[in-house]
Amino acid sequence: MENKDLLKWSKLLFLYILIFFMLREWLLPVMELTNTGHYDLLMLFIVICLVTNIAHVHTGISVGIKGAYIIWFMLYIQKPQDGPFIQSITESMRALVTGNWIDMSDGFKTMLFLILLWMTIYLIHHWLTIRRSILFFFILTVLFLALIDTFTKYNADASIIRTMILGLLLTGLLFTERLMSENKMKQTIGNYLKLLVPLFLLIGVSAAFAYAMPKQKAATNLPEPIENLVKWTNANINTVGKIGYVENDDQLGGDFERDSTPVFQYTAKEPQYMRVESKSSYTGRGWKNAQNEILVSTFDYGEAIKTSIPGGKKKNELDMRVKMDKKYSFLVQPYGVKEILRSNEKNNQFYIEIDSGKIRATKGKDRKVVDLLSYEYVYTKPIYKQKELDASRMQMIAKDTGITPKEKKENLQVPATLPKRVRDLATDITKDEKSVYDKANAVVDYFKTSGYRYSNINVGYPTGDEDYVDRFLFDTKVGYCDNFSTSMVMMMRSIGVPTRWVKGFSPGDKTASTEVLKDGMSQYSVTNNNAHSWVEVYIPEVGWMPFEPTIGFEGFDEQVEEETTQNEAPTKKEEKKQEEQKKQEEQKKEQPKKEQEMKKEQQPKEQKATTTNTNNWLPIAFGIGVIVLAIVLFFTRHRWYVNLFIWYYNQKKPPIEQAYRVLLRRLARHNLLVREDGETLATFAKRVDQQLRTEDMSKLTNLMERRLYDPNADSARWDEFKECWKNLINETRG
Amino acid sequence: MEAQHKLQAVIENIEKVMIGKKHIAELSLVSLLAKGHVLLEDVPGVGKTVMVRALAKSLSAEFKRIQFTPDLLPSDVVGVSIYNPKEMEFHFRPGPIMGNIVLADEINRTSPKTQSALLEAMEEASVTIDGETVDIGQPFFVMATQNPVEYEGTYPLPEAQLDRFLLKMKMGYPTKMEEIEVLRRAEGESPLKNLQAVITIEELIGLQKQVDKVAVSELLKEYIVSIAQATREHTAIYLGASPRASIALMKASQAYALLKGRNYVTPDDVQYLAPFVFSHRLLLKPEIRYENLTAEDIVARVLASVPVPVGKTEAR
Repeated sequence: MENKDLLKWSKLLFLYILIFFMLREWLLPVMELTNTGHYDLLMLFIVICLVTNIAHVHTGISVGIKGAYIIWFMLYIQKPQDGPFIQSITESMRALVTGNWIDMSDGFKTMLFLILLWMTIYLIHHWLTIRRSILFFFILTVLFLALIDTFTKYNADASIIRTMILGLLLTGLLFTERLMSENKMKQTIGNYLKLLVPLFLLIGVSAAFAYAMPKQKAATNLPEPIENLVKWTNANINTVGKIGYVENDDQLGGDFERDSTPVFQYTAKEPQYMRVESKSSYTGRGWKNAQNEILVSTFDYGEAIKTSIPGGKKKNELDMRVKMDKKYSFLVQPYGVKEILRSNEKNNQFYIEIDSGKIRATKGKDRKVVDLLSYEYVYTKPIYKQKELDASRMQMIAKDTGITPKEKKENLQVPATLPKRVRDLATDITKDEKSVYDKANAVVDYFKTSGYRYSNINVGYPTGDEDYVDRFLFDTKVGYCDNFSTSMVMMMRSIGVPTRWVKGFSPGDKTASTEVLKDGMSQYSVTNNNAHSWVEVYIPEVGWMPFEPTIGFEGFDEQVEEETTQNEAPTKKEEKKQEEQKKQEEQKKEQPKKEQEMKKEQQPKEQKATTTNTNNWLPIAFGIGVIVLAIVLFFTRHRWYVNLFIWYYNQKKPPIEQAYRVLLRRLARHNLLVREDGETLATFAKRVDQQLRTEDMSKLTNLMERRLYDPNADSARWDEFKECWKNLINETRG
Repeated sequence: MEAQHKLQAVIENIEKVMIGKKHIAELSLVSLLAKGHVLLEDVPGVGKTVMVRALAKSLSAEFKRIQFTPDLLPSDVVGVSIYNPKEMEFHFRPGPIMGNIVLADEINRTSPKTQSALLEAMEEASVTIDGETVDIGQPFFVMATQNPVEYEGTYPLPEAQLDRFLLKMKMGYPTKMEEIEVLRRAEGESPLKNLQAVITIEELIGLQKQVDKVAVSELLKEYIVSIAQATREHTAIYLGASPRASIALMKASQAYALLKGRNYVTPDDVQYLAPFVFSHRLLLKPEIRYENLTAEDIVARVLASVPVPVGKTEAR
């Protein structure tokens, strides 16, 4: 007897090991494609689920173990920025309910994912032990891998082979099991060997044969319909990209997901916007890179950099050290950059692209662009004088010599397709302001006061003839930095102010540095979340000045210096600004996550391997979860439905006729026990009892018959027949 | 339930002498309780007489036996008036029919004239001789036996007369084990001699009255009628069950319910008794015989086809 149990147990164990590897084939691509970490911990969870199933651990204990593991896991991957554990969960719940799935914390997503795994394993357990058929799961796995292989960059070549072998083994073993029980074969080791050895041989030989056979190279070109489908999925689906800095802005729009992968760190006295480049040619869909020759100006270490941004006073010169975590072929620069002191390499030369302001490091005679890992700047923060700003007037732009005609022309470019209402709106907003500076501020304020909303989801792409700016300003009013900044550029340009679109990084978060820092210096960490875009407006007689139109960002407020005559009370404007600042801070506290700096990274279609574009896997996972849940509920319907049913009737205390009728109906449906026309209830009850090995049906029927055929009988009370009825209903679980 | 205990005691008493024939004992008792009579159809020597004697003894009832022969006259059954020259008048000498429990052995061996005298006495529970009617005291229970009709020199009972019997049953041979037990018991003194009465005649009459009080719900009356009607409409049957047969089925069911300790009849009672009540009252079409079907088979088919009334529990 013990021997038999051991055999049974080891059989199940073997099946479960196979299942474990099959599940691994599911997990691997999902993890790779979604950049999910903690592979080993996830696999451990699967092992826990499988072990509790195989060891027949009591349901309560098993749920306890898994629940505890999930909570531990969530705490383990909890990030400080997620806030307190409970709060992050409640927020994520809210995000889940409101559909802002992107705002769910990683821990919460992980929890959902683990629960999904749990349910899947339950389902598989059911397939394995009750139905003894895994073919469906097997086919599903192969289909899944095939789809993943075709439509994503995941390479499932080896995976498919492993899955085929595992699946064939599983189906074969389960078929053997069914065969033996159906033919009532004795479950001895000898019988198993008889059936299994040919199975293993067959699979082994065919696998070896398949491996050794010469294979035709897979067609490099997919059949046209599929190729189109692949292209379509890669290009046109409203994909959720991951935030990060990219140099291609041909097509703006789409949703993105937060990504706190560090990009670089800088050490400076104050947080700084880190500029990379500006762009000036807007197409209606995005920003074009400069097509023509790029004019550059070269410089060496310690040499003054010719930027178009006016620096601050010499006495305010400061040092800044930048340490890159991610390699870029350009340098990130603070406003007011003066010179580069040193870098991790030596003998570099640098050039700055005059139009865009992008700085690159080169090496050697052929001026090959190199990626620097760390560098140090001298910079002075640009300070603009309030008086000069207030004095700037529109008519001064034409006469201003601080900007070349070419530059002016480029930065006034407006596509012919830009709808007129954009210009009308810009004119309307700014008509009451006199100075160019105030006009720019009016546009910035307009976003804050006119119902625009910051969001990284449901942003979408312009379709058909839609203009990116027009769509945001008038139709959606929802977007992130690109929407705000591009719109401001177009509005400023349409009223005749040269304006350019600037890309870079927002200041990032202060970190606790391990290094000893000079007085007043702090270290700031910039992540992909900080990728950002803003605006530079040309203020006549003052120069280029950065503006922050995006709601929820600090902006460049401290750059303006009030020329304080003695004891002058703060101007109204200042008061207003302070108020605004307060408001923003409050807002920031409320929604710390939403106001992180973000920028969508869009994958260039040609370079597949370099960037991390992911499909919108969370909704898919959620959908699969719902489906799996539905399937689990469907397969376990007898369990929960019957319990619900019993509970309901227990509350209702129905008359015996009704309870009996319901029982007969269920017996007919689930146990195929149907009373014949000429069969009396008592005979039928005996038959039922015989089949179900109970006596309850006869007892119940006895009560029922008295009620039916004895005109003098009292009605049977629920309590009298409740027990028998419950037992019988429980037998109808199917 | 007191009635059930008494009746079970009778059954147990009979079982002391009869091996493996509980159902026959039960059916006999049912018939007795329902004031009906039984026709036992079987070969000689399977214990019919012992059975009846045991029953009579258990009830402390008067037992009479009439052995039917071809030359038996009606007066040999019901009795005769004899002229007494001393007193110058006729005296009635009761025949063997005037008992509580009468075994009419091999009833099909006698002439129809004598048969009808017996059957008339059974039906009326009285005999009329020379214009004088004499009641036969209750309880009155006739157990008639007959050899199966294939035997030579018999007068099969007409169907109309078979209707007088409440139940017709077959004793059947005992099983091997049962027969060994029969032999074992036959070794010593016959146990029949030592059999004691378990209930009195008065108690029996009380039980007979109780049978009438057993409830038959409207559902079951309808069911009984449905079965009877189904026999009349059945394609294999030439002559179906009469209303008297329906009454007989109801009465027998009531008695059986009482025997089983219930004060109401269930469809199972009806189904169990229907073959014993109906099969001898049905006349099958001649061609059915060729299909090797008996009246019992047809009744079974009828029972299978008539829906059992289950009231509100009908599962749709």
